[in-house]
Amino acid sequence: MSAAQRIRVHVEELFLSAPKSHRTIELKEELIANLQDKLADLVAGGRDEETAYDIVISSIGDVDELIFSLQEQFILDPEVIELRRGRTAKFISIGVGMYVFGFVPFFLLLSYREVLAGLACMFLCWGIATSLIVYNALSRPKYSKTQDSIVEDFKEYTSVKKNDKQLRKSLNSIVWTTATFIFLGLGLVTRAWGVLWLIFILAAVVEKIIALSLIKEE
Amino acid sequence: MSIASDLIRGHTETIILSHLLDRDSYGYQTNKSIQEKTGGRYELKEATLYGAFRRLEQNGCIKSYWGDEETGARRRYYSITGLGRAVYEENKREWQDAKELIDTLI
Repeated sequence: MSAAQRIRVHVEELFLSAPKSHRTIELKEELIANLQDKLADLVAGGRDEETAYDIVISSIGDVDELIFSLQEQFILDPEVIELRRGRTAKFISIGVGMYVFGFVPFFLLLSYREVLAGLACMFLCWGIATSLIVYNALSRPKYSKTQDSIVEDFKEYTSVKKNDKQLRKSLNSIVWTTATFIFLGLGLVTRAWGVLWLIFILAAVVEKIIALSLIKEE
Repeated sequence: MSIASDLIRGHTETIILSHLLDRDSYGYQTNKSIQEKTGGRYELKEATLYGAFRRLEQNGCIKSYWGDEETGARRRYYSITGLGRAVYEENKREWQDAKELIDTLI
């Protein structure tokens, strides 16, 4: 192995404990190139390769601080996380509350035989509740990379996947709950059970459409 | 030399900025020029040099870019920014003051 190659090996060993990031790779390349320049210069100046190699290696010094500077990155600000958690809690509880609250005008108007008006009020409440929950899921902060390493790439990837999964899950549960209530509500009023079961097929279709549109977005 | 290096260490960044005032440079060239200017009496350790480059870049005093050498390994060049020049002037003034002060004291 030539002295130039041995320099590369030596530097790689020095940086074994450094994070595996682009920054580290760049710093190593920069260091290796410059050390090899120095080696070539020393050899050109009349030193034999072995002596030149020793001089170059001893001129590197202590790389601990350099490695530490490669790790100095901060993850998400805890204050921001706390703020987000508070907002999510508010949105979800208002949303769920509106789902339940939606029944009040329905039964109230049902007692006055105003079925359609009751249904309309109920769906209005559910619509608002759905938008709140969906908005909350969509506006959740994505995991942003603090270090461009492979681990961070993977974390970001899983975070995006998890976000999508949650959105899909909440949309699906909304679709099926809505379908069930329409089935029961309209069924009790119109007694057209024979036709109304088709609503579940419609719900299945809607679920697939949601799944497809989410895939398309990716 | 060991006394001198303790004294000089605090000025590593100013020395690098001073070297970059006239032209862009890469690591080895910077260190070589320091060595030549001092007649071989002083030379930075590589770790010190790149640590200083990193800090200067983070503070916005210098910028770096990869050179496009036809042969051999690619070099990373550094160039001084406007902020870097201002910091250099400030540090130099501070050093002049300190030097005068110490001269009157010892």
